This record gives sequence, structure tokens and C-alpha cells, in this order.
Amino acid sequence: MLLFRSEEHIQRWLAYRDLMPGATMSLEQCWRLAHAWYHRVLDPYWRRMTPDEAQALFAEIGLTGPFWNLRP
Amino acid sequence: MLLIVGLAPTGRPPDIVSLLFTDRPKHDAERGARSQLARSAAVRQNRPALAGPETAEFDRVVRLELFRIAAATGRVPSEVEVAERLAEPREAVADAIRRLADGKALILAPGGTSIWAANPFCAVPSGFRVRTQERTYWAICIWDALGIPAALSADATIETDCGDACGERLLLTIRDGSLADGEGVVHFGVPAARFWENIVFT
Repeated sequence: MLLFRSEEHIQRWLAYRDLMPGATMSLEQCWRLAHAWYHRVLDPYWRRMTPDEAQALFAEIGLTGPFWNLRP
Repeated sequence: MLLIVGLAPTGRPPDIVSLLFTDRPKHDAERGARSQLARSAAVRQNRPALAGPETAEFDRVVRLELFRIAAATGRVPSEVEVAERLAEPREAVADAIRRLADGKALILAPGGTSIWAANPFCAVPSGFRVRTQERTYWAICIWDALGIPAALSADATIETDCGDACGERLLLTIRDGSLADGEGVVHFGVPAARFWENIVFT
């Protein structure tokens, strides 16, 4: 996951590397994702999110569609 | 409570090192488990492997100690350091770290046994530098870089280069639990269901 100055910089990078586009999100979305994912990582009884929990988090942040689908 | 938000009685912000290392566990279960682990250290030297719930509890304690050290120092510890702090055999801790990696609680260096990342903390300098008031951390990606102030409940500045290597420096500021400053767009190269197939490229 890389941070780019703008969508234009992403397109330039994809073309230069001959890569297919993935998905983009705003910094605010990424902050919300990171906060939900990691804010309890130092808790004694921390555990990883289940796929269902992660899917619900993605949806809450507005990350929907096939790219964000965790279910087979 | 591991992390305390607010001011100490002196009026100064609490130092995270003292919070992480001197704060006694409040859960009786954890206190008991750690005492039991310490008492059983000598016994375990002669035992080939843990099993079942005891293994899970041992792994939990190893993970917690490892992450506490990373948070308090900015440095992901080796298995030797974790073993010494817990007074446990090095090999038992190494086994726990391998199980934690299998469970995706941390990432081992490619082809090796050393820890590359105890996410969100990266063990080596990377393209994502996170600075808090107290120290500098590294992260393997922008998600983890933002995860460090989230994990620490701390203000931070994140520095990285634009992903297309145009040379532009991007700076983000996390303050009071919010993204206070910074611009940019995050790109994910691999669909979510395949994140862990190539975590470096993702």
C-alpha cells in the first residue's frame, strides 16, 4: 500500500510499471481503517479480526465491491 | 489499562515507556499467567513442546511482550530479548514467534526466522517513517504507518515519498486521534482476499 500525491501520480506509476490498477482510498479512509485495525494491538487480549469483522469494517468505511470482498 | 490518555499528576504527559513497562497487568488472569510462566521456566527447559491452551497462553504472553517492547522503544526485539525479559527458554520463544507468524500476528523476514514486522511496527528502516514526541518508528506501508499512532494513542508525523518516485515528500500529521494534516491518495495493488499472498507488494 503506497501513498501518492494524486490520482495522476498513480496512473503514471501504473503505466511506468505496466501494472493493472488496484483500488484507491482517501487518506481519511485509510486512517479510519488503520485506527480500527490497530488501536487495540497493545491490549493484553488482542486478537486478529475475523474475516466477517474485517468485511464489516471495510463496508463501514465505504470500501465495497469485488476488490474488497473477503468471502470466497 | 495499558495506555492512559491524559496528563499525569505532575501535569506532564505520561511517558509511554513507563506506561508500557511499569504498569502492572490489571487482569488477575494475566497476572496469574505470567507468574505461572515464570515459575515453570525451569521445568519447560526439559519439556519438548507445549500443547493446547497452554501453548495459546504462552504465545499470547510472548506477543504482548514483543509488541510492548516495540511500542516503547521503536525497535522490534529479537527472540533472545523477549526470552530474557520473560525468563523463558529461547527456543520456546522462537517456537511461539513462528506460531504467531503462522497466525499472521507478525511477519518473518523472507527466508529467515527474524521478525520483519510486528505490525504496525517494522523491524528495519523503511520508506514510511513515523515520529512521535518520544521516538521514531518505521512501518512497511501507509496502512501500518497510520496504525502506529493509532496503536500508541499518540500524536505523530508520518513521512514518506510519493509512490511513483517523483521525488515529492509527503507529510501527514495525526493529532488528537484525527488526521489533522496531509494530502494524498492510497493505492492497493492486490485485492483484499489476497493481501497475504504478497504482503510486500500489497
